[in-house]
Amino acid sequence: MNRMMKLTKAQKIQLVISVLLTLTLIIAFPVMAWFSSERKVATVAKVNTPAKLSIKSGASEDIIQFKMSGINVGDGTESGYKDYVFCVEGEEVSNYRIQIAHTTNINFTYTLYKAYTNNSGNGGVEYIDESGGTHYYICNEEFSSNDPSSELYGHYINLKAGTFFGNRKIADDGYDKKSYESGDVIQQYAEPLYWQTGTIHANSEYKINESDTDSISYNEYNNYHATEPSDKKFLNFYVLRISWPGDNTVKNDKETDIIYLTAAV
Amino acid sequence: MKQSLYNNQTDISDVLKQKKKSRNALLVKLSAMLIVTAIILIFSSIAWFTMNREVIGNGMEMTASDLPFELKTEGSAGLYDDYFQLFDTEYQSENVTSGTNNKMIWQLSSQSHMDNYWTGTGTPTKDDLDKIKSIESSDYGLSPGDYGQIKFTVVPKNNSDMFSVKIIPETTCFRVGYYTVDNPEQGQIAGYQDDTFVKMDNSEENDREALKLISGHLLYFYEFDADENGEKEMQLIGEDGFLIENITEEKDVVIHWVWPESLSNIIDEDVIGLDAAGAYSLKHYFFEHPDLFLKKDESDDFTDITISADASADEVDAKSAIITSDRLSYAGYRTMYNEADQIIGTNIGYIFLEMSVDIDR
Repeated sequence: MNRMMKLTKAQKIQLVISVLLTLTLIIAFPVMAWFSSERKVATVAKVNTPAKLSIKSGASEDIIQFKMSGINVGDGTESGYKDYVFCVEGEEVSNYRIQIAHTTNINFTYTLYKAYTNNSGNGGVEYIDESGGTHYYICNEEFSSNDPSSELYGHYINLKAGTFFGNRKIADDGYDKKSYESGDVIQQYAEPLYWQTGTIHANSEYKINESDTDSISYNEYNNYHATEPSDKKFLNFYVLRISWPGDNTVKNDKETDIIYLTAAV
Repeated sequence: MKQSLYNNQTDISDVLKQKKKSRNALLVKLSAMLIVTAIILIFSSIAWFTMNREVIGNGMEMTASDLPFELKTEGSAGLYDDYFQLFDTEYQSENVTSGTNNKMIWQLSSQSHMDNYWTGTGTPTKDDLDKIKSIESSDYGLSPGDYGQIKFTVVPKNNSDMFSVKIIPETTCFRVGYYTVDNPEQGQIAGYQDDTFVKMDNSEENDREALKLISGHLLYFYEFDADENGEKEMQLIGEDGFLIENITEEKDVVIHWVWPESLSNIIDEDVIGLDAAGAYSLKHYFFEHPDLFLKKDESDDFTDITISADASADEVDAKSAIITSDRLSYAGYRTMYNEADQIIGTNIGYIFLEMSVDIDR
């Protein structure tokens, strides 16, 4: 401190200036470093939205509740059918396809219907939920192969031309090479038939809230959408009808078919 | 009188002395103010210089002489390059960087892209783009299980000495809104809406988790020369980037990007798109930062499976065993990985990958 006091005024000013200049340099250097600009290369990539699509049992219950075992066809002399309700539930998906693949051991006919919750009574296809509650679904709209432009279009993609052994439908060999080596002997009824719908617009029926089991119309949805754009959920019901002819080709023998139901974006 | 005059004189000299003192004080004050002003001036002028450079000053050849290299990419424009207008307008669609243009939009090819390179014929039409941007479209976008490579070239300038560069990848994510239904009357087409880009921000709670998880799910690897026979090996690129040393001639930098499909790919070191070294470095990284890979359960902080950065291969094996020993818990971890993918996909619309290359000082 004494040495500081001994300095002349000019020296003191010099000292202050030199200290300040040093400080300035220290601060300025990192700033100057900015001048040595780096090089950059960049690109933009899209991140896909994961499809939230699930297939569920009736009443939007888990698919584990979907049971098809034990179809009673009687003595085979009477035709009949049995209905199974399932639904496709999703979010942020605008369209999807339903696919059915099944083996052809039994001479069943599989028909898919679009279904709606019956709120006004107890008619239609019955579905009993896990807790014993009963739900009814109305199904009038059948998927068919008549009109490919229809919303209700669905068709087999590997059906063998003609009918076999009592009007049974079986698969052609179109997909054999994807599954089997050449020369393998394939039991013709074990080979699956593939059926799929056209593009189904998920937005044709919507449900608004998680608690709703009912679907609403496109217009109703749009009205709602105007105020609540964050809700993009939907719930579509379907009925799979398994029917059999009364011509003795289907009997209560021990016979098994494997059926796959899928909903795909 | 004399006395009084004398007295007055002493009074005057006192006053003068005092005046001199106060003048000195004023001088000191003034010089102090001058110094402060000078500092402010220096600062503001530097700021002025930097601002000036940022706006028009790229023409100063000072930069050019500073860096001994430029970057080069080859190919054509990416599908989403229009969005640079929203992110950073300084990026130019060029093949080579320069002193006047130090930010370049990556030119892409079938061998160098991030699922954003048009493979159809001609240029994509508006219809093509609408289809690509529809929500359920999985074309031309990143999903779990995707992988690929993207490359650029470091080109030394004439007469430059040998140098090393430091390369740091930076990812910025954007959330984007979308329409679920066509509404032609209002000009709305189902799919991503270009005008709703929002830069995601770590300070936003909604964004934070998705940003954290994508840093673990979408990973970048550098392919380096493992030995002199041209043998290549991949290494995970961490936050600090990576170095390429002793560059004397054009050097291709190949970045492999990978979004592992499932957790078992990582644990089994079986990731399509990675070599053995890359897969191991990924597995090691997973156990260093499990929270970047798994959707966190509130009760789980993953301490039982976390290792340090310098952990040995034995430690990695031991932690793998914890995850895989019990089938139920393995299924749980795998679900957490898949749920993380869901969070990324539903929150992040576009990512902006920026490679900054600077001389290693």
